[in-house]
Amino acid sequence: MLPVGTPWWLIVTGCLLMIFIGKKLFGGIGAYPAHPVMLTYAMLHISWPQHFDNTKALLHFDWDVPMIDVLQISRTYGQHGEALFSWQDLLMGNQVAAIGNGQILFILLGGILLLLMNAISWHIPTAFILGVVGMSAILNLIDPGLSASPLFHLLSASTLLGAFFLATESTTSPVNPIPMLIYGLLGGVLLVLLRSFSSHIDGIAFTILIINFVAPLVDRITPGIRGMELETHA
Amino acid sequence: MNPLTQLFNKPPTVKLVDDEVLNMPAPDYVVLPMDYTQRELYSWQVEIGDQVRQNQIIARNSMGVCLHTPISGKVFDIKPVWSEKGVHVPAVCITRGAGDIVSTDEIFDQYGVSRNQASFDDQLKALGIHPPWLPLAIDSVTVNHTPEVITNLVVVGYDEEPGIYIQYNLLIQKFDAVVQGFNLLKKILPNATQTLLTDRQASLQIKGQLPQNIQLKSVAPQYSARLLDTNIPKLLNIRFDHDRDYALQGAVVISIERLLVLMAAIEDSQPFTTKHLTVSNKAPAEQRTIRIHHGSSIRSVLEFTGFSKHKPECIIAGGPMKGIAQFNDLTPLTRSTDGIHLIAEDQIASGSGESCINCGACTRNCPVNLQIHLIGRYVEFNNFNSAKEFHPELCTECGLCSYVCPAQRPLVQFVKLCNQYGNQKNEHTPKIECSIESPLEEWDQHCTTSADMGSCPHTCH
Repeated sequence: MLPVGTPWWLIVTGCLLMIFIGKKLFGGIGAYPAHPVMLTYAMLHISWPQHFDNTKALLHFDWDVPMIDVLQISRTYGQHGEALFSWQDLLMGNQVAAIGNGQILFILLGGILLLLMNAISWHIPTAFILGVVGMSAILNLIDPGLSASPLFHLLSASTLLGAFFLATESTTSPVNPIPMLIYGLLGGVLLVLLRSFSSHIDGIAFTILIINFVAPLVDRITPGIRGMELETHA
Repeated sequence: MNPLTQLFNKPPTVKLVDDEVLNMPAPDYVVLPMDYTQRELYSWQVEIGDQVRQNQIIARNSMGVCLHTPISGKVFDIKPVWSEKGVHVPAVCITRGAGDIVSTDEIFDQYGVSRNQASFDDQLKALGIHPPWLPLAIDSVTVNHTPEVITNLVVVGYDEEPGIYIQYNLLIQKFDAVVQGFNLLKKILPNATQTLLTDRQASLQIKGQLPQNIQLKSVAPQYSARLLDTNIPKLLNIRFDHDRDYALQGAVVISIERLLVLMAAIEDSQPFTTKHLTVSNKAPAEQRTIRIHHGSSIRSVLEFTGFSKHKPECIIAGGPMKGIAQFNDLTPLTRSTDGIHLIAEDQIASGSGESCINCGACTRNCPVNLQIHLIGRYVEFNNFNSAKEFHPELCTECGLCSYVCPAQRPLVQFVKLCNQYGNQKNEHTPKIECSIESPLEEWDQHCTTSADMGSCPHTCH
């Protein structure tokens, strides 16, 4: 999630913040209200914004890739900027992104592996992707200059990482099927909105944090308990 | 275990139908508990030192249902013992001795009615069988409840618990007797539509052989699809309350084993003194279905079947999911035990109770849709009042939540704890004062070595 060339002290600070504020302060594993990694990322991002410029970090590399953050293109030119990238390039990771964010194909494979291993359920990733596709399609239909096409959003930066690895974190996500769908959908919609209208280029950290705090609320939508209805019928 | 390896691991194949059901000979002594799952409470009619004969009535419950001794001999003690449900219950202990079999007429004499005058229900009760078309509780009997009000008969031909194959064995081995049993019940319950509920494997085997008037329904092989608590309401489209009494709703639900016992009682006047039982071992997977006399100890069953060679660390009475781990191997097996499951020391899940990671597998797998992940956490921190808001009392204790929990948390135990101690206003101080040592240990050593067991001077005080 951090750019190439991040100074060592930033990583150490992040680790300490994550363990002590993100996890231990709330009671350790299983008790934290927000994704510790995303909480730390947001804190670092707000404190040292100058170290979070992916394009600047990659400037001195000899690399045959358009040296501009893909999401910056989407914000500035909308669909008109997409010609710089083919979708195969995006899929293979030929894009300016932070470490681990841009390797779309391998993130996808990892996500499918998690699904096969039953480590995550399909609800959240599906709903998250649907939310991204739906919201970006709406914005794109309103004005092609406002947002890139759904496929571009899906294959750029941290969309799939968020869908498969961040939003599905079990402690901070709902457990019932319908709340999981709502939670994922909300995340996808929010991600596209933050990307298009907020002051941050990639709003993934804030998206995950906000839906984490919504999770206990939507998790109150529970299926009816079998046997409960009897009390009224008896 | 790593879920990835589970993708490639096939479950071990076990021979499901035995060639014949083994009949275990009468044990040296029997211990007959007087309390079955807190529903059937018996009061005994014998004294310490009495000589009893095989099939003699020794106890009776408030409904008039009798309990018979499976062996002749001497009552040498009446004392609380651990039952297979993990509770202390009074029990009558009988050592084997000389004595002939009580005839049917004598059974009715002991019951207090002559055989010709007794009603059909009374005849069954005298033989130790609760007529399945009568409600379970005594206060419901005052309602005029005749067999004619029964509109549904469901014979359950599968075992809910994995690793128990009593009904399957009986269905395949005694198929003709099962069909006869259906015909017999057609005469007793003329208005009932008859259904046989089996699993897929059995339904494929018997397809086409059933008479037209019996419907055949099958259930999926997964444990969650086999739970009777959810299958019967779905099948009959009737809502049952939590403390389910099928007869009150016009339905009779009995297993194939009970059907055969009922038939033996009606046609041959045989009292209910034997029980089928599947003894299974976790690893290496092995199982055997046998027939035992009521009151045989687990130790004698394991020695008879040769399963004591596995040196089990944990003995579970009732099957791997809903069963209860036993304090020791002298617990008597009775009419409510369907199986014994043995687990070696290295196979026991640690169950150490790691902290919950909120993955929700328990809640998504719950057949009654309880929010187990919340109940478990509240109970863990003694917050019973908050836990009660999620209705833990509706739990059927099927054990799926504990089974799927990746952190191996004792979730069923949390729910049970909440239901048992939750009313004490967050002051949870269960006091366990009973010793887990069985008083039967002394008797077992004496009775199985003594040559003249009928006149045991050791414990008959």
